[in-house]
Amino acid sequence: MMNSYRHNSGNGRRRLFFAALLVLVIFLIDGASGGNIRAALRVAASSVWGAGERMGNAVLESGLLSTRRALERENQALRNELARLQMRAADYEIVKEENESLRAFVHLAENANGLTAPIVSSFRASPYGTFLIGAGTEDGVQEGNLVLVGDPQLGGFVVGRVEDADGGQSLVKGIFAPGERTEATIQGIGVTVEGRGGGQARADAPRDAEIQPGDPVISANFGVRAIGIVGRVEEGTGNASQRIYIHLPIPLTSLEFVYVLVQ
Amino acid sequence: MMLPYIRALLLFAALLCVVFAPPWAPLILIGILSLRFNAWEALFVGMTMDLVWLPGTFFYPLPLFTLASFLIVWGLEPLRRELFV
Repeated sequence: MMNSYRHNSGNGRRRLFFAALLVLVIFLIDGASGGNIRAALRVAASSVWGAGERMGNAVLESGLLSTRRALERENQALRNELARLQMRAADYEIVKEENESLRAFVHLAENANGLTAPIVSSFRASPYGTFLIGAGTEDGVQEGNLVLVGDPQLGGFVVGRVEDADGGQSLVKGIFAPGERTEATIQGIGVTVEGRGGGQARADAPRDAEIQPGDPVISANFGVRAIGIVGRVEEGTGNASQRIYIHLPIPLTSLEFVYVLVQ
Repeated sequence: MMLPYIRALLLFAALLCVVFAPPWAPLILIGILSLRFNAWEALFVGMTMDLVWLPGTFFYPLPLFTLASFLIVWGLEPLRRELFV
């Protein structure tokens, strides 16, 4: 009995050891091949995600859960309208600010050159604040390209940067990925924006800074473009600073397409 | 009798969670797999998570999910042996 137990336990440990070794070898082969294994896995993951989306839509369209479907549609339409109006208002604020100081020498909109790409993965599945888009090196996308939402002619909002570009897909890391830090300005005041995930971030600004909800957050690290808008300002009593809560004007989960700035 | 099917089902669910669910979902399934079985396959769930979502190659940035699954599998092994073997 004891011998059998030791034998089984030894086998189990041996299997775990070889599995760990195999995982290490796969990582090494992936690195040596320039990311071929991860590129193939990403294609598979986006295909599975697309199939899941289509199945979900088919269930909704089939008439099952029709009451729920009607409510969801109305809810979605209202959300889209709200997001559109928020985007327009935020765009207006950005344009007004840019016209005063930036636009004369950075030529944001005029030089916008890029392509529209579909989002082919979930926003919430990645532990690293990344998502997949359906455009890659075959479309001219390169690592480091900025990814925007909104109207690029008005400047748009930068939501991320291409980190890995494969043949037909790219992995984008969100600016507001958890723990991601970005230097930015709000009403001309420099702040460090810390990502919280889900299209949200926070920053601390001096207490006497006049920052209001709706103010655009601009980052020179991303070509002097907007990366979000101020959602809430919290002034704690006795603190030398005020806490600024920042978000994108449109919920990330409602996005279907993004605009990739190709340099 | 049903255990191999349950094991395969848990693995399938964990792999689907890599694509569809928040990160804590595959972690919980890796934990359940490791607690009940000698789940060497849980390492591959963690590896899949990192290969799909982590930018960069050659262990920079660190593949945290693979490391976490490794720690869970090895960490829960004594408890599994105590409870289920």
